[in-house]
Amino acid sequence: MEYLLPEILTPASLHDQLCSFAPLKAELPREGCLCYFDSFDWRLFHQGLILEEETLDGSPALRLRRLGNGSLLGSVVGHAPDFAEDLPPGALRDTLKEILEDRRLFPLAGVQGLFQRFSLLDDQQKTVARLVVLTQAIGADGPKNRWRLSPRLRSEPVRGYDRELRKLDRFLRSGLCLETAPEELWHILMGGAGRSPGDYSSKPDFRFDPAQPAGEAIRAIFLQLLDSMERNLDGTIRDLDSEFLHDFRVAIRRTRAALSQFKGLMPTTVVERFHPEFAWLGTITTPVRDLDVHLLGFDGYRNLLPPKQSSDLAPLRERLMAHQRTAQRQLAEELASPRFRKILADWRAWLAKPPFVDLSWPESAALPVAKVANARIRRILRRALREGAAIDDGSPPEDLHELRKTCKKLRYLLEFFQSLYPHDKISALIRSLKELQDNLGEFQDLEVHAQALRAIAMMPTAEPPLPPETLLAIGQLIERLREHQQQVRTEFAARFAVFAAPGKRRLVRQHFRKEP
Amino acid sequence: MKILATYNIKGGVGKTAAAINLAYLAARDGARTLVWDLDPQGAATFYFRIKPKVKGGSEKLLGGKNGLESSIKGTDYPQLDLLPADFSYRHLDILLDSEKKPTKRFKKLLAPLATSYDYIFLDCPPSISLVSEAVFRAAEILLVPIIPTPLSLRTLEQIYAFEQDEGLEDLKILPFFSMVDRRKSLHREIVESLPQQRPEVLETEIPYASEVEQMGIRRLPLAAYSPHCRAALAFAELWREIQDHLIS
Ligand SMILES: Nc1ncnc2c1ncn2[C@@H]1O[C@H](COP(=O)(O)OP(=O)(O)O)[C@@H](O)[C@H]1O
Ligand SMILES: [Mg+2]
Repeated sequence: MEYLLPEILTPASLHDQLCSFAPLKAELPREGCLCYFDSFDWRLFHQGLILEEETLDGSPALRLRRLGNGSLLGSVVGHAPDFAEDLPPGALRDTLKEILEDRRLFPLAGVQGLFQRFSLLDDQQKTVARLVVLTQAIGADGPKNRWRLSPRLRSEPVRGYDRELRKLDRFLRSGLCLETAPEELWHILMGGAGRSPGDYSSKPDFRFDPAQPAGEAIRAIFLQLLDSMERNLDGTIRDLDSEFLHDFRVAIRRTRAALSQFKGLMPTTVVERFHPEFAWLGTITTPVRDLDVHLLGFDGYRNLLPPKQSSDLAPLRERLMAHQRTAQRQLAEELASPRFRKILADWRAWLAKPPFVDLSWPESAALPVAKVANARIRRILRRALREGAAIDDGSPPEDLHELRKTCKKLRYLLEFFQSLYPHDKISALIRSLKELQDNLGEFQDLEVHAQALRAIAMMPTAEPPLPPETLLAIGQLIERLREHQQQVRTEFAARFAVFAAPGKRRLVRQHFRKEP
Repeated sequence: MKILATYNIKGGVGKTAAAINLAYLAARDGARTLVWDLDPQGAATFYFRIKPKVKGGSEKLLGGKNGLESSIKGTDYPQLDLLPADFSYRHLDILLDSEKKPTKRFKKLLAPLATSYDYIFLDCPPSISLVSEAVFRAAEILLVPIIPTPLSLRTLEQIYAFEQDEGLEDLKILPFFSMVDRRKSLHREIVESLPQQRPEVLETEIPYASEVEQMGIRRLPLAAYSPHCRAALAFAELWREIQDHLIS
């Protein structure tokens, strides 16, 4: 339990009153701070967890706790790392790695002050409950933003001594007349830092009313995607972790898809002006992403080779990292360029104007969004079914690539408009689509990887050649990737069959009708 | 979750001292640690100032649906918990014998704790019995303190023989010297010679030290009151060595 301490209650008088309740061991007050960490997309918070770094008298400890009851899921001595994998081997690293994957940890907010611990003892001088008193507390989320916090006290359980804790809490409430804190420290600090937990998610969240004019809905989609681009921009430029660029690119791709799907519903001049610009953004962000994907998959590469040979790949990794750094520098420059700034600024300026004041919107923009969504989804879904049905074991890779692009469009449309349809129906459809996309994506990625590795192996003379054993290992690796790609290809038919199951056409008729 | 047991057929060799002090060090480094005091005499429980009692005794513990969770007590140290001894543990053998797969019982009982603890130390009673067999099946590492005397060497051989007979290939036996008195030539000789036959003997030896004896009076882990004495440093070194074995 957390309690607020009235300012008039001096530490000495608190101590005396506690002593009158039970035998007590008081530690000396210590200067310290607590700092809370999470990823940009709040992965820990979404799991109901908090990661706290406690530093007392200069020695840090890191703890993963459950928000609310505070129970401990793991801890180590030391500072919070940038990435889960930087932790020493152990349960905490495994747990965090599973949740955070490759996302970086950021300090979000913290508090510094005087921490004093008390142990409540039984007749054997054994600790049966604990108290922590925090005074002279200053909240902070960086060197500039700091604020005062009222003193507080927290009672903490010792496992197996629930009765003693209840008695203590009763005493704190009735004996000392302490007021329970309305919010946990974590929430208070997040609030003080101006953060709203969970305020970023890479999953889009669009909500529309079926009768709403399509133009309005389209504008809302673009605005949310633009927000996503802007929020990921800084992390992309500084390469804080690879997910920033990934989410940035996803927002760009969705914007491009929307521009081409909705072009008949928007002012032509706007589509013509911005479509090439977002295509350009897609192009300039591709090299870094491709290299990121190589590096993220590197452990997987190593596992494809016999253990003896896998260490021969080390120079390849170095090379990929060097290329990534160069490409990243270039990307950062492009994203700081006037051209880029102007695209985003102009795009936002245009989106700021509601459709009904801008006379260049075509009349079709006034159609109900449900009607537009039905028509678009119906068309693309039918196309996906048609293209997929035409693919057999002998079809060339280009056909799969075409289908992949169609599936992507379909996926975006379903995500944009999912609020218009029954939740279970749409999510089942998305699920089976995702399975199919995973197969198509993996097939295509393996193709790209194999080609890129070949290109690296046959690098122009500008770079020092890779050692022969590395080239050999790359050759082996390409072979393994090709084999794997073949296997992925054979799985296509089954995945598509699930996606195209007979119910699909009925689903189309039922939910994506011309007249909603 | 890693399960380690401190075991020897003989009593008074330093099993409990090792369990308590190693568990304390593990918890101090941040690991969530549990000591299960399996000895009805309850020395470990005494050191932690906890009542030697589990709800419903051994019977409830082995057969109850709450498993072990509800009997666990927090110690004075963060992240360090104890499953206390109970006087009824002296009949644990008979009780185990009436179970279906007695030697697999502890492993099964401990399995649900996997998400709550990083290390579990089983502090065993002396003797070879169904209890120790169940411990051998549950633990990954068996820490065997040996006082460097000829008699201790014999008991060590008995433990190895038992391992052979029972096919306990998964169990890693790590003997270490305990209560070593370097002034005694016999101690010195055995400490030098045994590792030649048994290379798995840990390098760190725990010296005979009055500070360790003091644990019984102070009822504290050694490092909590005398962190820099030779024996405390030896336990820290021993723990590092054991962790290396756990990683490899
Ligand atoms: N290294 C040591 N030096 C001196 N006394 C020790 C040492 N280790 C243990 N003792 C003492 O020897 C006695 C038996 O030790 P204990 O750890 O309880 O053995 P076990 O658990 O094997 O029966 C205890 O009184 C303990 O304080
Ligand atoms: Mg003992």
